[in-house]
Amino acid sequence: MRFSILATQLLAGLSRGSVLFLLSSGLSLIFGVNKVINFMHGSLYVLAMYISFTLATKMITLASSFWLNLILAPICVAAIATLIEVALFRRVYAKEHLMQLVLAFGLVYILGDIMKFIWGPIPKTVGMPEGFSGSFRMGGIILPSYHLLVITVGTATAVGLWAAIQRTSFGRRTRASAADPNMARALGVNVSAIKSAVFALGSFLAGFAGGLNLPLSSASLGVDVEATVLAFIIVIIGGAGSIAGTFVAALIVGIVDSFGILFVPRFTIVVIYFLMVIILLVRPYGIFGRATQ
Amino acid sequence: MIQAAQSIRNKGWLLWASGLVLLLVISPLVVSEFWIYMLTDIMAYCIFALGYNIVLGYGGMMPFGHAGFYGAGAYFLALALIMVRMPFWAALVLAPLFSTFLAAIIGFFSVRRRAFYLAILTLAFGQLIWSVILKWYSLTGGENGITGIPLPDVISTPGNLYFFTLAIAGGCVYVIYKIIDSPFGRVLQAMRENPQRMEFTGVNLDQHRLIAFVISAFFAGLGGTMHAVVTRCVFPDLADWAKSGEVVITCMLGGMNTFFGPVIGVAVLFFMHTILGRFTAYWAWILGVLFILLVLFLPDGIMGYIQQSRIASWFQQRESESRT
Amino acid sequence: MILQVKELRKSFGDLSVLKGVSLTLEPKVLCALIGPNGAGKSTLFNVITGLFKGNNGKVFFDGRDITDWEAYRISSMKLSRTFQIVSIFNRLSSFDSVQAALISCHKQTLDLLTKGKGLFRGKVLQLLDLVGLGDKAYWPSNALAHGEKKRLELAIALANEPKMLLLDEPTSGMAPDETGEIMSLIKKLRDEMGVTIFFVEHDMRAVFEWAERIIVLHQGAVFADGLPMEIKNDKRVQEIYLGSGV
Repeated sequence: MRFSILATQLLAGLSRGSVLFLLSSGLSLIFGVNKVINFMHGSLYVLAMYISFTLATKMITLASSFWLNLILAPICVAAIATLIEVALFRRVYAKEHLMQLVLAFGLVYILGDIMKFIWGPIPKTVGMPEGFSGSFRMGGIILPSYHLLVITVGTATAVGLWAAIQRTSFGRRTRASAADPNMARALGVNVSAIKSAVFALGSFLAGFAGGLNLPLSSASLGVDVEATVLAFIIVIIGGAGSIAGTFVAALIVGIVDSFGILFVPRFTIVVIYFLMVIILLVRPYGIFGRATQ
Repeated sequence: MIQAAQSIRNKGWLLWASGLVLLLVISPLVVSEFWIYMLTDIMAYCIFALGYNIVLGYGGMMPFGHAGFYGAGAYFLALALIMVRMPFWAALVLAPLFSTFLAAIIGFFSVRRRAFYLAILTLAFGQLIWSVILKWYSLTGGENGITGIPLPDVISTPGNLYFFTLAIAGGCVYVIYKIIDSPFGRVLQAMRENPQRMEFTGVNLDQHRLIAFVISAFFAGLGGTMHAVVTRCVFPDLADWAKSGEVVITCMLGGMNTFFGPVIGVAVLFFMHTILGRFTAYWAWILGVLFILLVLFLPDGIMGYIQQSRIASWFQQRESESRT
Repeated sequence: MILQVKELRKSFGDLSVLKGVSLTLEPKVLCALIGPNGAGKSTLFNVITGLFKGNNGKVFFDGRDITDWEAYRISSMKLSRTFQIVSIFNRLSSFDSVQAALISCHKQTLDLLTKGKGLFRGKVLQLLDLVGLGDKAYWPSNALAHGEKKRLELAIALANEPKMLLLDEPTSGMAPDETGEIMSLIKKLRDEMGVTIFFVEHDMRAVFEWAERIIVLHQGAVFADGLPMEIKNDKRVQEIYLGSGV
């Protein structure tokens, strides 16, 4: 196996991992702070892909339209998510996980039908954005530019998120709300508002992941829950509430996926789930997690 | 769950039960073949749901990969009959045992986990089973599934198949009821309510949870096997997360704190799926709205709601009695 | 002697809660464990019953060294307890709750075949009658009043015919007349069933009225130990309570 091919696959894996990270980090935040099983997270990811598609094909091709779409789609998705949070999720925060799951399932079905109704069952694709459709050559290795972009964006987001959570007052209040909501409330933190903000942020990240991923794949039905399942498992493997853990776990999954496609193309998904089972058995609270929940 | 609360139990339940049994027995003679087929499929699924409720409603656990056992049972039957040409009755017995075997291994690692981590680990295992079924093309045919499962002549007609399934389902209802009512079942429920208290009386929690898990997997496997018998085909989606989620919702919809709740849930979902599916391709959202209303307004499920109102009126009665 | 604790120590990280507790209890005594908040009373109970492992020291019960035993093993030695926050089976009926405990104590938990509805019926009703819940046998547990729940917990704890009962605040949350009822019930259990009673209490009136012996715990060690009159008149004990409740 030529090194150059391995290197290109590695890049593809890191790129996929970055997208998975963006998706999973949102879920990690929501699960860690709001402590709710947000099973519709993946639906928002797919919804953002569809919205991105519409924006890309309907908007006049400005030079910067790709970048605009990249922000607009997640904003739409975050807005919808906030509505859902205020109207519905708030009522189940105190209820059992089972209830939250059923509620989320209901929303998945509803969103799924809405997407099917608006966009139809045929998968939608877009081309690469201008300026990123080519690739670099470095010592015989082909490095597609878009992959590099995705990895850069993903890493930057990871660092930014980590910094925001550790260094800003919003981050402090968020961590307090996650660790001990009652104490936080007593200290004057508006826990409800924080929860809504985190829900919006997490959903924004899911949407962001979708928009970024669209040129690499396609918007289609049925991806919604696959994405949610994958994201949950990544969150648990990485350790709920740990941005670093989610980042590492997502990259691992992305790389395994990518090399799996290279070496055992038909069985990649089996390998991924097998790997997840092994990790969950060996480190039940995740690579970086602790038994806090 | 006040199994022994005789003063609260509906004295008329025997009447309801007899009426239902009568209805079930005469149905094949009066309804169309389509409905016979559907009722048969419902009964097969009820085996799955009632078995799953042993761990969910009575055991207080929410494993999220039971469709893996359901699908494994179905595929074992299909492969045993078509590839190995096993005698039908042998395959029928071995298929659920295969699921049970898988569950013993998976359960051993899983039941020690708490709530959500149990769900995630069993989900991962379930997805593993599903992906193996999907991708092992040479064995399972992948997405195309396996069709044309041969049945012995004696149960090839819709009516005979119906009664065969009814007998098996009836047998399962009986066995599951006995298990719930047994010392084991009672201890399981006490464990659900207060694990620590039961531990103090000398119970090895994980051991009992594993037993409940394995038993429920047996019925999941049997349900899948019967589904394969009824529909004569198997597809990978029998083992995927959606099926796992579906059985959870089924139990919750009907009322997971009652014995027959899951049956009600199965019936409602089947009917909605079939009837709505005739009118429009967009019926999932209706189900979605139903789930949301369920969570917000009817968290005990349909049967649970009925039971709770009976308990509530019992209390009201007592209170007015004590006042006079 | 039925219970002997030797130099028991327990720390949670840096926080040292039990700093060398030593005491002995004779069979059938009705002994109270008192002390200011934070003295370590519940922790002592938790270590004795195997919920926590002590860092040092030994616990002997009925002639056996139970220091490192698991909780369920200790309970099978006929040592039972109740909890500060009442620990029952909320959605089960009183009958089912006691029955479940009995099934467990009789090691029938893996029996999948027997018809369970009337199992141990006589014994269950007897225990419920003993604690005064006979007429509410089929009530859902969470419908019982607070005091009744505490009695139910007692019935559950009695299922294994214990030689000794550790009761953590049996009268908490009760009005004075209810307190008297529960305490006289506890004394009755001691008299009729020969159970040794060791109970934590904050209600001093109940303590001085019913206890035959009092052990005072303070800052993780036994501070005083003796007859109620002695303890009542002990100036040092009054001091550590800062005049509250004594």
